[in-house]
Amino acid sequence: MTKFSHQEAKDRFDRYYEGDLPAAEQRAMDGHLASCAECREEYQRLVQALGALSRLRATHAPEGFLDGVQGRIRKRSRGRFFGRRPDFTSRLPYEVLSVVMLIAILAIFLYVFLGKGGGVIAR
Amino acid sequence: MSLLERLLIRRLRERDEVAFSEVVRLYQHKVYNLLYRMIGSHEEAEDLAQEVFVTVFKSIDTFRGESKFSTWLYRVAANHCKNRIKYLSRRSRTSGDGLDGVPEHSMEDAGSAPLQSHIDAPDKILEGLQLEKLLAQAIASLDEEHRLLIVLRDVEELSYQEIGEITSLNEGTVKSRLHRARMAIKEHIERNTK
Ligand SMILES: [Zn+2]
Repeated sequence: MTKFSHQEAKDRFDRYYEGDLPAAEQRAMDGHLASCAECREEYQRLVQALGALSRLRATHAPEGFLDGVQGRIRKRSRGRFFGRRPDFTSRLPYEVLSVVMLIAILAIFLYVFLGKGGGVIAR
Repeated sequence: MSLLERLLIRRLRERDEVAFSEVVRLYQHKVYNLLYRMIGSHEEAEDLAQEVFVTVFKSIDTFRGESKFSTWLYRVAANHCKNRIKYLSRRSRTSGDGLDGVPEHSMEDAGSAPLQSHIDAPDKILEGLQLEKLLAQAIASLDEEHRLLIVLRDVEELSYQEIGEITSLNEGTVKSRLHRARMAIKEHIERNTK
C-alpha cells in the first residue's frame, strides 16, 4: 500500500479536496491524514480557505450599468451602431434629402402648372 | 451552444439593441464580480466591465460559436482585466496609488507583505467582512495569472474544461498553478490570523 511523506501529502491537498486523485492515492491520503496531526491541521486550514473563497459574497453590477454600456456604444459609434433604432443624427441626412426632394417636386409642379396657367390667361 | 444562445447571437450580429440589452442583463453581474474580485476596486470594475461589453458587441462577428458564449465573454473579460492590472500596477508604481485599500504585491513578495490586518480569532475563523477583506488581500497578493485561476475556479466555480478554454492553458497547467495559488492564499491567511 502507498504511503506518503508530509511533502507528498501536502502536494496533493487540493486535489484530495476536489476528489481528483486516483483511488490508491486517495486511500494513501486518508491514511496519512488519519495518522499525522500536522498535515491534518494544515489541510483543515486549506479547506477553510477554499470554503471561504466559494462563499465570497457575489458583488452586483451597480444600478444603471446597462445605460452606461449603451451610452458608450452610442457615443463611440455616433449613434450608428444599433440597426433597429438609429438615432436622430444618423437619420438627419435622409430627412433633409427627402424635404429637399419634396420642395423640388413642388417647385417643378408649380412651374409647369402656373407656367401653363399663366400662358392660358395670357392668351 | 443551445438554441436560445444561437438565436441571441444571431440577433447580436444584426445589431439588435434589444438583444444587446438582454446580454448585458444576463451577464453583467458575472462579469462585474469577476472583475471586482480580480481588481479589488468597484470603480475600476465598473469601468472595465462596461468596456468588456463594448468589446463584445464590437467583435461579436469574431465569435465562431466553438465555445459557449459565456466562455468567450469570460475570455474577453480576462484579457481586458490582465491589461488593466498591468496598467494599474505600472501607474501605482509611479504614483503610489492603492486600490480600495488592497495592497498590490506579486506572489513572490507576498512573504514580506505588511501584516496590517492581524485578526484575533483563530478558531472562529473569521467572519463576514473581516474575512472578505483578508481574502481580497490574499487574492491581491497573487500575480494576475494565479489570481485569475483562483477567481475562476474557487470563486466562480467554473469547470476545468471551461477554465482551460478561457485561459488557453491545458488542464495539468491549470491544476498545478491553482495548487500554488491556493497554498499562497492559505499561507497569507495563516500569517494574518494569529
Ligand atoms: Zn504529515
